[in-house]
Amino acid sequence: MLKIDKTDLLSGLIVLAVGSYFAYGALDYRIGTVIRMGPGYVPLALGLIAMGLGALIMLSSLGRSGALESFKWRVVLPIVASILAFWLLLPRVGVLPATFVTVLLSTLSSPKSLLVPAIILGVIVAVLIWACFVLLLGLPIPVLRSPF
Amino acid sequence: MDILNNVVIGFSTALTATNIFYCFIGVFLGTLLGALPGIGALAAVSMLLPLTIGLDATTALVMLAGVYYGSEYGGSTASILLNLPGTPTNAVTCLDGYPMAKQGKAGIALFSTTMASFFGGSVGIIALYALAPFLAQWAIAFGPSEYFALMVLGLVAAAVTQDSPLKGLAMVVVGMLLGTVGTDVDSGVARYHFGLFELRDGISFIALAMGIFGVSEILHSLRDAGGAPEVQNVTLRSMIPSREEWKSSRMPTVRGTIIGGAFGVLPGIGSTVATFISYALEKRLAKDPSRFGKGAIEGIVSPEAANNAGAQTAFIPTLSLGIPGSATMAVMLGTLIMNGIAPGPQLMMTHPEVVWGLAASFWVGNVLLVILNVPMIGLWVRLLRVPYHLLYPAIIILICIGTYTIRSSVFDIMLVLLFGVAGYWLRLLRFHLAPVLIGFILGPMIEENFRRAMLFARGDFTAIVARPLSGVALAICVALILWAVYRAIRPAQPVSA
Repeated sequence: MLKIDKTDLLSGLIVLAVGSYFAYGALDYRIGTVIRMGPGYVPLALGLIAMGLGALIMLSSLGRSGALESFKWRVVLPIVASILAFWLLLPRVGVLPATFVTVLLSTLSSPKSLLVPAIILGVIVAVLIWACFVLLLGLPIPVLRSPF
Repeated sequence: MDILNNVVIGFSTALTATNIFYCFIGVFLGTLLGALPGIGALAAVSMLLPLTIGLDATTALVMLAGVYYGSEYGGSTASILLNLPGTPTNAVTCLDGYPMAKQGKAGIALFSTTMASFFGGSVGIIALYALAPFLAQWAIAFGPSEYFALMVLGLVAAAVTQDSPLKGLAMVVVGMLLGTVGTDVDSGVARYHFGLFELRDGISFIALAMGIFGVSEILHSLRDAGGAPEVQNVTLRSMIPSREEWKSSRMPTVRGTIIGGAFGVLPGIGSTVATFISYALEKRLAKDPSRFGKGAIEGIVSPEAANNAGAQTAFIPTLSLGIPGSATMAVMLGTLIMNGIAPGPQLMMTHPEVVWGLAASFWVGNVLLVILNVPMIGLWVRLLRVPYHLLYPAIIILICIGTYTIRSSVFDIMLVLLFGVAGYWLRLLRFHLAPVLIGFILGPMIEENFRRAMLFARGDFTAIVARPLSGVALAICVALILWAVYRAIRPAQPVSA
């Protein structure tokens, strides 16, 4: 059976894909000549280089064995949700509630977090953030806002 | 003497109350973040960058630089007490620092590394004062060809010193591609904006840095989060080394400083490589190499001296050429640009107070760090006892709000999330992410210089190669790339550390 390092095979594929996306996209812009390069020239060249590197990485994955590491969705998803919540809530309800919700959601990533300490942590962090960024630094951040 | 004049300008800028204050804030927060597992200098600097909004350019840089070398100090504390390197450059310190701590010599290890760091840092600063003006004077005559070639060399060097050179190169190119997003300076055409208005100004480099170094770092640490760390107490009295230990750490400190200082100047090669080399050198020079790994004091002072000397000399190419030697330096350059100051050899002429004030503040910062790390060591020991699951939610918030405040843009929070998850995934695939950021910062500069060089040369690429400096730089690049390809194709061999 052919040995393949799955990590590097996937790595190469990703680089190849990113390169081809940019190289293909560059065709929408004027390429120009070497003397007078258009906006598409350098992205096209870089995209082609990335495609070449991706192909080489895929080639180098042959003949070695290797497995993929698990993505651990259980860790990733709560963090994704918490940042999404901040993105959604900050302009709508202000920094205090947004911080509280984000902290609470992000604690779900760690098995060691408990509900009550998480709530206390959320309150403390929210107040500290408000004190530091709004009171001390005076940055223009909405503090508390009615969503309606 | 010009140098003396620069020293005077520097210290008169650095010793103002405002700058000392922000220098202190910087080194304090830097030590704090650096001591936390998984947060490196780069993550610390990009996370604290929003705090510098509204500050004057010099003060902002003084503070961020303080964060940078402060985190290097803090990282060594975590390495010795927890066997968890706070930053990659401190990884070597674990090898002998943690065994020393287990033998009850944590205090001595912490004291010696602080002293070695201080020595290395101080020598690095002197080198900066002595060398940077000459380099800048020489660089005034550089044309676009020279800049193009030197920047490409920096990128290639950053890529091939990774353990997989091909993947390093790929990340550099991906970074450069991300750098092409936004309006093209020459033609005014908006490239790769996905129809999004926010992307016409390009990707915010803070969002990129926070995503790939902040969020992905947290995800990675949570992934391998283990049991509660056990931290032993360190008292001030236990920190004083014996006469023997002083003697055996003197020469290694000097050797580490020289190695670190030399490597720091080279563009693209970070101090991580220097720490490994100085450790290997000490092991080879030792009468009894078997002591290494079991708590040899030479094995911690030399890499720490190297690491801090390199942290200072890395500023030499950054300030005199405008070419960042590492991803952290790229963030520093980004800060300059955000403050409307163009980096390059003319910087020392147009803004001497920025360059020399910053350099002088390094020394102020190093003195502050000795104070922070010796009498106040108990504070960091207590900090290391705070469980990670209470810290990371606060770091997430800092990242989000920090990114938001830079451009008052919620869109950038979305970018952080995107880059964070992508960065985490790439890291699982064993990609190194620092080259992405170096490519991202240097990419647009390379494109501009390449286009100009080709216009001058009427499209004749040999014109770039024919100029002595750019020819040599490109020849080194080709050699490095060939070596990288050779290493990739040849069957894998264990890399000796």
